[in-house]
Amino acid sequence: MLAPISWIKRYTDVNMPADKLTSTMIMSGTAVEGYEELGAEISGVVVGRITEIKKHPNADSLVICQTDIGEKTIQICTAAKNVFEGALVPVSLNGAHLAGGLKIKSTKMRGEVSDGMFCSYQELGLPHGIYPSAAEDGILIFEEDYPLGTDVKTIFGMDDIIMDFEILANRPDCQSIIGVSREVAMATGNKFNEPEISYPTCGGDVNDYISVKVENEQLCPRFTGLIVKNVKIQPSPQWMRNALNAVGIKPINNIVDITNYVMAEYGQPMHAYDLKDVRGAQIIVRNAKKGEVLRTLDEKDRELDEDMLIISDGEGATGIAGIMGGEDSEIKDDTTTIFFEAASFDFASVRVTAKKLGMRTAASSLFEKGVNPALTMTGLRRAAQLVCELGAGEIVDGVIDCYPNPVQQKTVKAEVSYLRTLMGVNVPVEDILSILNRLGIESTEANGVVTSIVPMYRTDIERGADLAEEVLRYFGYDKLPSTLMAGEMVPGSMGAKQSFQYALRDMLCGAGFNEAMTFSFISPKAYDLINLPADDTRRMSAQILNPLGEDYSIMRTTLVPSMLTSVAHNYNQKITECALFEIAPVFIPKQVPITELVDERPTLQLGMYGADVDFYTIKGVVDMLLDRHGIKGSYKRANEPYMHPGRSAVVMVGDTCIACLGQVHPDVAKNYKLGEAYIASIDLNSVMSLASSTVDAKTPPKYPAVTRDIALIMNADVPAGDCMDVIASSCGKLLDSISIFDVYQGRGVPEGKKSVAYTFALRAADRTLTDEEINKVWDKVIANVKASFDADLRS
Amino acid sequence: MKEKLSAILEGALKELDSIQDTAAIENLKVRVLGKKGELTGLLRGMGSVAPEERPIVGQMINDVRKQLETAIEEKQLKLMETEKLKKLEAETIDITMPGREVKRGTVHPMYQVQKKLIDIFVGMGFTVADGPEIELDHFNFELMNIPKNHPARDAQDTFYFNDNILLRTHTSPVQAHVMLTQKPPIRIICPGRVYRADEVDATHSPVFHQIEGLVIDKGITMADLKGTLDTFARQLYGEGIDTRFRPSFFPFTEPSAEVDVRCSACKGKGCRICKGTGYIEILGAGMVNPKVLEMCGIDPTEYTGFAFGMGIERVTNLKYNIKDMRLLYENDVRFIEQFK
Repeated sequence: MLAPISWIKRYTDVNMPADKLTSTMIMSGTAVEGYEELGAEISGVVVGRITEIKKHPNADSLVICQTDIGEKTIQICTAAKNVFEGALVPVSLNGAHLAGGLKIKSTKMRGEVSDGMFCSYQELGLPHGIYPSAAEDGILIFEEDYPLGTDVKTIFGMDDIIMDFEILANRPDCQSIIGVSREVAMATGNKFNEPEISYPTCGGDVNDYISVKVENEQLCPRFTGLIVKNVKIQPSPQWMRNALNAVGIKPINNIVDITNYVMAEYGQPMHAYDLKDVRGAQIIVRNAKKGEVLRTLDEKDRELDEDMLIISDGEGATGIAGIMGGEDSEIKDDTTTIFFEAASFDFASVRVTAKKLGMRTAASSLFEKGVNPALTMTGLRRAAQLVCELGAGEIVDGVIDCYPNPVQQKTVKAEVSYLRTLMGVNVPVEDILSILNRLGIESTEANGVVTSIVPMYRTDIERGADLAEEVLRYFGYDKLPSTLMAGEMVPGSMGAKQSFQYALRDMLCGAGFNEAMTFSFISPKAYDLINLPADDTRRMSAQILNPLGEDYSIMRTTLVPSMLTSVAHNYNQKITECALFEIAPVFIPKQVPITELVDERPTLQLGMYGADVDFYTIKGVVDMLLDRHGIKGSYKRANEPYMHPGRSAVVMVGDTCIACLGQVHPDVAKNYKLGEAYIASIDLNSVMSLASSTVDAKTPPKYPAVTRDIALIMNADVPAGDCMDVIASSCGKLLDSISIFDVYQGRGVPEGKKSVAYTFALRAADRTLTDEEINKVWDKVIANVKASFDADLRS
Repeated sequence: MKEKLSAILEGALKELDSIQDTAAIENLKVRVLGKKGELTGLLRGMGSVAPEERPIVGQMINDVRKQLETAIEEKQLKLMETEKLKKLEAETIDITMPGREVKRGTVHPMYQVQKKLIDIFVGMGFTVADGPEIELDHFNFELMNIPKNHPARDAQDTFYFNDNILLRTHTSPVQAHVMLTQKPPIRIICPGRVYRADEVDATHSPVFHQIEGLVIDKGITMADLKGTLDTFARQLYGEGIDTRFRPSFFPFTEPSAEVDVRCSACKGKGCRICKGTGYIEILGAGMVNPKVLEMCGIDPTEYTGFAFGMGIERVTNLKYNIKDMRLLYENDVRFIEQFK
C-alpha cells in the first residue's frame, strides 16, 4: 500500500530518513516493500512569469520571451505556441534536470541567448490529470498565482517520499493512511493525532431526499449516506490532486476525488450518486435477480445472478455492492445534488462476486479484506467535511444509517502468566499495559489478569494470543531469549518410510543412477505418447480444475512419461549414457472426477540408456534391489503397450505384480525422440511390506564345494532361466550356487536349438561330498531337464 | 696342496666378482663346490696326504668351502636384488593416465538438503510425520484457521479438484492430522511436496518442497522456538550463526514471525548473497494459534506449542548458489552430478 510521508505527517510527526523508517517499521511488524523519492530526477525548475514576447529575428517558428523568475529576468527562446505575455510558467534553468534524464543548458538559438526552457507537464514527469488545464502539446500554464522563483516540485508534491507498505491479511485497518500512520506513530514513538471531523449543515432533512432499504442485512451489515446539494463540479485543489496522484489514483473532479481521498485516508470505500438519476429517490440493497444486467462505470454490461448483492434504485440495479457503480447514476458536470454512500459489505460475498465477474477495483480489494461497519460513519462524515472545505456543495441535515445489529466492542481477558508463556519473555506488567494502551487498546491489570477493551478498528484482536503478539512486537522480537523446551526427552526418528526411501537412494547411487525430480502433474497427452489404449484404466486421473495449462493438468498415474521426458532431455543433449531414478507417488483415484482422496502409491521409476545397456542391465538392478530387501520374485513376460513385447517383464510375488521392466517400445521411444532405452517401475509399498530385514547369520562353510559344468541342447524357445530353476531344484539342499555362463546358437547346434551352459556348485555343510553323491545329483539333473524341456547333454 | 687350495679360492672369488647373473653363479657353484667339483676333487686326493696332516688339510678345505659358500650366497642376494630392481623398473607405468571409472550416481540436491534438515531435527528429538499431497480443504485451510474466502487464501494460490479437494499448498495439514490423532507432547517434522499455482520461472515453481515442524507440550514458549531455530541454524550453517525474528502474520500462528538466519557467507557483515542485509529470510514460524489447537482437539489453556516451516528448494538454492529453479526439475545429468 502506497503512503506518502507528507500525508502520514498530517497525523503524526515522523522525522526519520526513509531507510531508518523502513527498518523501524519492519521490526515492529509492518513490512515495507520499498520507497520511492518522488521527483528525484527533477531539479532546477521554478515558477516564472513571461513579461515580454518578441519575434525571433532569425527564425519564424521561435519567439523570445523575457521571463521574470523572481531574483532576475532571463531570456528564453521557445517554439511553443501557447505562451502569452503575463503567463505563469514552469521554467527550467541552466543546469536543470527533467524527466527522462533531460539536462538543460544555456545556449544560443539561431544567434539569440536562451537561458533555459519552459516545461510541459510531461517534461516534469507529471501524470495526465494532476493539472487539469495543462495543455497536451504545449507549455504548462499555471492558473493559480505562485510567488516567482517557487520550486515547482513543491507545487506538485514532488518533494515527497512514497512508502510502499505490505499490509498483512489480519490488518485490514492498515489498508489506509490513517491505519499505517497509527503504526508509524507507535513504531517511532510519536503521538498519533486523529483528525477532528465536523462540518456545517444547511438545514433540510436527508429523509426528504431519499429513502434507503437494506433487504439483506447479512451481506450489508451497515449502510450510511447523506445528501449534498448545490454541488459545484470542478477540479479539486492541487494538494488533493497531488495526494491522490501519489497513491496512484487519477484525479477526476472534486466530488469523485473526495470519495477516493476518503477511501485512501480511512480505507472506507465511498460512492457518489447523481440524485436525479436515482429513480424513485430510493435505494434498495438486495440480491440481484437472475439475468439482471447492469452497465457499470467501465461501460461494460454485467450479467448478474441471485448470489450477488447489488444496489438498486426504484427501478433496477444501479451498482454492484462493494465493487462498482452503474453508469447511469455517475457524477456528471451538471450534477447538482448527490447522495454519498458509505457502506460495509460482507467480505466473502464481495470476493466471490468480484471473482465471478472478473472485476477487481480498489473498493472491492478493500471490502474483500474486511471493512469494519464501525468505520462507515467516520468515512461519510469525513467526506462531508471535505465537501465543505472545498466549497463543493452544502450538506443537508441528517444522515441515513441502516445498522440493525451494531458491532459490539470486544473485551479480551488474558492471564499475565499465559501471555508470558506465549512470549517466552517476562515482560513487566507495566510494559504490557503501556504498550497496549499506546496502541489504543485500553488495558488494565488486576489479580494477574489483563483486561483489554479493543478499539473497533482492531478486528484482528480476539484473544490472549493476539495481545501477546501486540506486546511482543513493540517490546521487541529482538529481545526474545533463546531457550530449549523443558519436559521429557523424546527420541527422534526418521520414520520407516523416509529411512526406506533414503536407503533406496543410496543403493541406486551405488549402482550408478542419478536422482531425478519431476512435476506430479502431466498432460493427458502423455498417455497417448506412451501408447496407452483409450480404455486403459491408467488414463483415469485426478484432474485439476484450474491448472497452469494442459501440460500440468492431471495427476500422473504412472511415472513413465516423466521419466522418458527426463531421459530424452539427456539423450537430446548428446550425452552418451544416462541412468536416472525417481521416487515419487502415483495418484490412483477410485473414480473420476474425484470425490474423495486418492490412493497415493510411492513408486520407484528407473530409466537408462547407453552403449552397454540392455534388458539384463536393468534386470540386474531390479534383482539387486529385490535381493537387498530379501524379496524373491518370479519374472513373467510383460504385456505393456509402452514396452517392447519381447524384451519386457513383470516381477510377480505370489499374485502381486511388484515391478515392470524392460526396453521401451520403439514406437514410444520415437515419440520421445529417444533411441533404445530401458525403464523399470517398482511399487514401493509392495517392496516395503515384503521386505525382510532380519538376518540369521550362517558360518561360512568349512567343507569344499564341487563344481560341475553342464551344457544342454534344448529348443531355442525354452526359457533358460526356467531350465536353471529345474537344475537348482534337482540339486536340492546340496546346491551351493548356480549360474549360466554361455548361450550359443549356430555351427554345431542344430537349427531351432540352442546350447545353454550352466555351472553349479554342490556342497554339504557337514562333510566332503562323495563321488557317489555327486553322480546321483548329476543323473537327477539330466533326467529332470530331459523330462521338463527335452534337453540333452551337448556332446 | 695348500697352493692348489688357495688357487681354487682365489680363482673362484675372482670369477664370482665378475659374474652378472644368477645362472653363472649356479655354474660356478657346481664347478667348484659340486659333487664333481674342484674342492670335492681335492678331498678325494687326500690319500696322498700324510695321515697326521689329513685333519689339518681337511679343516683347510672346509674353511675354503665355507668361505666360498658365504661369498656365493652374498653375491646371489646382491644379484637378485639388482634383478628385482630391474624388473620393477621395467614394470613402471604412466600414473597420470586416468583411473578406471567407478560409476556412482548422485542424490538430487533437493533430497540431499532435505536429508540434512531431517537429520538435524531428528537429532533434536523430532519424528518425521507424513500426509497426503491431494488433501481436503478442511485440513489444508479450515483447520489452519483459513476459512473459505478468507483473504489469507490470496497468499496461497491453490490447485483444486473440486470445492473440497485440492493439492496441499503447504505441509501444515500434516500438523492437523497429527494433532487430531496424537496426544501431546508432540514433536514432529513434516517434509514434503507442496503445490501453488505459480507460473514456472527462475524463482517460482508450481511444485516445491517444504519442511514443517510442530512442538506441543505444557509451557512451550516463543523463546523455545527461538532456541530451537538457533540450534538448527548452527547445525546447518556452523557456529556463530543465529536467527533474527521479525513480526509477521500467519493465520495458524499467533504471535507469528518471519525468521532470518545470519548469512553464513559473510557472518552477518553483509554481502552479495544476503543483499547486504547480513541476514537471509528462510523461515516462517510462530506460536500455534489457540484457535488451531482448539479445532484440532487440544486444550489451549493446558498446552501451548510452536510451529515453523521453510521451503527446501530455497535452502538448496542458497547452499549451492543455484540461480534458476527450473534446473532442479530438468534432470540434466551434467547438472545433478555436480552435487557429489
